[in-house]
Amino acid sequence: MVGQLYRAEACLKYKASTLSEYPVLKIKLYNMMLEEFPEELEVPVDTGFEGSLMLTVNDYEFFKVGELPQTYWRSYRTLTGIIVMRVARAIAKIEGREFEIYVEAPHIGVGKRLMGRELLNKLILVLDGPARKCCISSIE
Amino acid sequence: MVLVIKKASEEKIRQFKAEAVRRGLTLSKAFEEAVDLWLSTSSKALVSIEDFNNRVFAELKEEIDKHVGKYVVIANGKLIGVFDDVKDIAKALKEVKAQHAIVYRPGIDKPVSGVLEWWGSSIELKPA
Repeated sequence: MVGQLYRAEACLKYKASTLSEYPVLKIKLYNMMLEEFPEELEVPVDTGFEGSLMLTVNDYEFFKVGELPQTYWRSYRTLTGIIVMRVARAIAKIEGREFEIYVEAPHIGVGKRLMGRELLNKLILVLDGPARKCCISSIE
Repeated sequence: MVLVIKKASEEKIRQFKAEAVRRGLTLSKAFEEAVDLWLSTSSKALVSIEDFNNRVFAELKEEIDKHVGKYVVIANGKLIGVFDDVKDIAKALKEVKAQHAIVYRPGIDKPVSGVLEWWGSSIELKPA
């Protein structure tokens, strides 16, 4: 809505890249045994990825104790063809907010860490490009 | 009963006898244990635990789908239970020492029909 005010609650600096820096969000993850993933991740924000949180195949091993049935895995169209992603349940904590989310990783391949629209759409984000800051926000 | 086995590998029989001695078993007792192990695993040995859990899910799907909104957990090739809370799932999975589990929520987890988007995949920015 035009004129709406957003209050930035927590901001992270963009990460450096070859040409243009990119926004990231910090996320803590837990598997279905409620074990904490050993690393707090800083994951690139990727609105071009329709899914939830993509992880590498190695990361994904940790979440296999909460996998969805194979018939619920997903397929993605990419420039190199269709990729099948395994899908598992996880608990995510982002700046004090807790969500039950899906994590995904390629059935064949290596994968990468990306935060897609399915998860981003649960958050109010302000991307301050000139200041290179990605902020979790609330509406005033 | 007396059992005579012809054409068995001498090397394998030698190893089998040595292992029986190491375990403090008579040859007949060791043979019985080996047969029990083979019979109990032979039907599952050709599939991974992941495939096995998925097979159980497919077999029970109709029953599972009655538990709308709950968490249905399958691990070690069997239905572990139906839960309301993630804490209870965690406890159950730890009890059965699960390496892989299916955690499914009927009515919440929806199959995605069609192919999803991943626009940027494989695009790499390289200097000209």
